Amino acid sequence: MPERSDFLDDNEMAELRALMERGDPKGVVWEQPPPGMWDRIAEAIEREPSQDEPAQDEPVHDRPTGGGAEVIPMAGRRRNWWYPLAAAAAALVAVPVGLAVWSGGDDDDRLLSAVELDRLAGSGSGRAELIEHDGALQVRLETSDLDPADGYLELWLIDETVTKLVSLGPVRPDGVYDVPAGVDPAAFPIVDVSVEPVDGDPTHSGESVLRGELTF
Amino acid sequence: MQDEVDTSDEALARDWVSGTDAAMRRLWDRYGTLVNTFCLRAISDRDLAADCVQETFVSAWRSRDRFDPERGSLPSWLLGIARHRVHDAYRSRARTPQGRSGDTSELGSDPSEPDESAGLVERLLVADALQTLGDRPREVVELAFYSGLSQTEIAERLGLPLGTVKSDMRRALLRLRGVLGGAPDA
Repeated sequence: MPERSDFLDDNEMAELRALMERGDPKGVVWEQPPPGMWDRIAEAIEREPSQDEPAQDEPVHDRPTGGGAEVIPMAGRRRNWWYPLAAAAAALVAVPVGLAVWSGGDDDDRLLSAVELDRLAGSGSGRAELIEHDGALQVRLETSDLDPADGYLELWLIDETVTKLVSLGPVRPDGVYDVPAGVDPAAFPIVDVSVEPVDGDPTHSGESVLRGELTF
Repeated sequence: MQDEVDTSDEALARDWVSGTDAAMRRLWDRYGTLVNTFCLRAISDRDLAADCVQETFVSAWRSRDRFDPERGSLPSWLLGIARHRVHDAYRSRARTPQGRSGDTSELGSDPSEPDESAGLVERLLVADALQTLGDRPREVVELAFYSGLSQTEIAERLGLPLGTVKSDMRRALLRLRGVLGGAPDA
């Protein structure tokens, strides 16, 4: 006679039922990947940098601003990197950052750099990508939970001394900004989102809410 | 034979963390269909879905050091990556200026809606877990879940020893916990 204790007890049955209810598997039809897909993946992985690449140091910005509008310098703190390269070890080691380049699925789009933006004030988060689109450079900005208060949000590219700024204009729903032809993004690698008052003054208000640095 | 399947999933997760090339191929062999099915259900454009599958595995390779078996199963981690890739595809398609701006209806329902793709992930994880248990245990679990039969009734219905039914149910519980929950299989 089987031991009663070997049965799933009521709690275990309830747990099994709950797990099944989370994902009712009935009617799932599996779709095998087409032949050749693995070869494409293997090729893409071949092109990846190896794990032995040396880490790049994160620049630290604690210099005060000079000239023009007051711009808050970026504190040096560890950031989440959206496109991680292979780390030398898990968790505690700062993730090395470098150029992440691949041919994406989009027509003629190449990702040149990307950064998860740090929040400097208030609420919100964001991420910026530098894309080569049909030969031209674009910044693509994705944000959430930003509060423009009584003003509006503006996107800037800033040089490493945090003194020279290029405005890419007000933050727009489509999130795509053309980098003006004469601007070298490597010279203006800091991506900054600020809250601007509607006062007709084109200079940076000094109130940055998000900031991050693209690396090249 | 079913114990071999259990062992090989665990072995794959271990090897995956250590990042061998052979583990990458095994990851594909084991979970390629799972990820492909997810991407095709989440984004109905087949070409975009194919790109998502490829990008998922390349992303997985890049971030293989970040997989922590204590925090979740390998297939759920992979499908988490796939969700991000699907979301990226959806987002960038919405920005395409060639006459389709804003029209993403051909992509299917918005995968950035958290409920949509999360539910799909769980369905596929459960279906995959039951399938790898084998036909008989899957049938046992389905009779328990869909028909509400007791374990004794299932044993009678399928003409199985009661011990077999009990062990199938227990293995299913452990497997589903491992795949859906935070803890790996015991």
